[in-house]
Amino acid sequence: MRIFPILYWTLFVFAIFFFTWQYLYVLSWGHKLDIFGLEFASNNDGRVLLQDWNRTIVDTENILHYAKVNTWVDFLFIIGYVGVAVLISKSLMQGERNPRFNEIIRMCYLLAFLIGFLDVVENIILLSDMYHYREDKAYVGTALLSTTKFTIVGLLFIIWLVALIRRVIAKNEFN
Amino acid sequence: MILRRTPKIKRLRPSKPRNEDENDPIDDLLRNRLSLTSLVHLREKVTADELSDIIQRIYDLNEKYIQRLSMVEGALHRLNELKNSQRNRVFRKRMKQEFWERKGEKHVIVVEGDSWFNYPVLLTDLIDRIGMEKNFALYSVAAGGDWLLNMLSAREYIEELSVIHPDVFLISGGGNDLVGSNRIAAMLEPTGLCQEIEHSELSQFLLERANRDAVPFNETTFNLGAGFLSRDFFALLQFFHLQYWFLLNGVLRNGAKDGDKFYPIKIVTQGYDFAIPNSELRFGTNLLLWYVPIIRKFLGHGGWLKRPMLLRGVFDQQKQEAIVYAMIYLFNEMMIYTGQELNKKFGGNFVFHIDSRGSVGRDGWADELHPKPRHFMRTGEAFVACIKNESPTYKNVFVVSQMFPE
Repeated sequence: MRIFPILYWTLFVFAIFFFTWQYLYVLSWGHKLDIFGLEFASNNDGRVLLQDWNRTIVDTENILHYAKVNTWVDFLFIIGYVGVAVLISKSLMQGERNPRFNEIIRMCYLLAFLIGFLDVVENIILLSDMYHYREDKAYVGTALLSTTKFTIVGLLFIIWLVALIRRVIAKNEFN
Repeated sequence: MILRRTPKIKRLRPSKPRNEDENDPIDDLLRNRLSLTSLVHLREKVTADELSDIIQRIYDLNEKYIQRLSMVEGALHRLNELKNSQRNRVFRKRMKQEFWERKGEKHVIVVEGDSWFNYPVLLTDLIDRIGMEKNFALYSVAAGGDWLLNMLSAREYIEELSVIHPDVFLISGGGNDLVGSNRIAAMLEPTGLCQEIEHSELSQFLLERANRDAVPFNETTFNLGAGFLSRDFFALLQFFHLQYWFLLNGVLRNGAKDGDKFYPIKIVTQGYDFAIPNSELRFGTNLLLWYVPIIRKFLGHGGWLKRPMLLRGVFDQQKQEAIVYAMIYLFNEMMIYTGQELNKKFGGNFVFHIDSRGSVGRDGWADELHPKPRHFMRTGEAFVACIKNESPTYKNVFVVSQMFPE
């Protein structure tokens, strides 16, 4: 039954390595693969950015190609990070004796799935934009979705941080 | 399909020749006409085969079918295994030298039980809370959905007791035997005018000896509920007593005297709280309770109590709640009595009971049978207090609502 934790961590680590390698590779050609910039861009800025990526060649492909691959791989990353977030939350919850805070950590399961869901929707929109940005009115911005997603990510990290601090304090008290 | 436990199907022995005038105590038990004296006599000599015979006759089913009913299969089985494997990994990690070098009391615990001890992933159950104690090393064979009947026949706990030699054994069982597979429907007499309780010497005795200062007794509700309980319920109550006696007596025979295999062992039981028949999903605005509708939608909510009662024509909510009240009240009293009798027999305080009655309240339920985590955790703290040898509320009983009043 350890297959799932192994799978989640593998996907998580693989995707991070892949994104880092891709980012550095494009950078080595003097360009920037700014996926976050695209996620938060307004409709006009987003369209301009995609046009720019389409014109800019890295090795044999344009940056838009790298962005598309990046977004497809992001689906694997989503499976990985949602799984990892659930595993971390569960581990923190198992050590939290305060019923109220235990309940708050349990909410991290929901937050993790919510982040994953928003990320999937965002990716679908981004891919649609990447394939259809030339068509009139086809571009849909993801700024609101991304802001919501990262706000929830922030909330998740705050809960984890507090849980972690509480765990360290409890451990020190015990020792 | 994976079956978790495959107990051997034993053939019933031919019954011993019996004197014409002599009543068969098992027949009396099934007819709810067994005297307390006969029950006391019966529990000392009852065999596994006779227990099997009794349950077949209470449920009107053959042994093979009962064992199929009681087995934990499919996804639930896998979730049980997952949780146990995680717990037991922690157990093995803790059972290293530094555990024994730690300051303070240390306890090695074996756990056998049902979903109050092993609830899949979403809820923090009793054992999750007990396992938070760093000085406890806890090995679990508990399985959500497990029947006491199955625990007894599989005897998985015996193997672990023999190997691990714990100083504490926790057991929770009986709930699924009563409410699993719509069984509760068979225990009801829908007119509400049933007088079977008057013929149950055990129940009368339990009501007389109950400590009503520690756990308040609502006589009106109890009487309303008891009117719906058929003789099968009282037969089952006596059967639970025999099962627990058989199980705990067996453990204590090897753990109550210096030099015994499991000596000194402490056994802690629990008896659930007054659950509320309900089939609502309960979507709400409190994000902290996001899991409630999910649990209720996918994990059997409404099917344990509400549906079987409706099937039997008990439609009134108040009556439904009163039925559960009477059942749980008697079940807890039976557990307390069983523990105290065993303590008397073995001459010491070996068996303790965690009494959760009235501790969860109306809004404290995640679904029909399982409290929300904060209540599980509170009951878990009562277990911790018991394991750490703190003073009981009275005799061998820790009353959760007294220990942690809201």
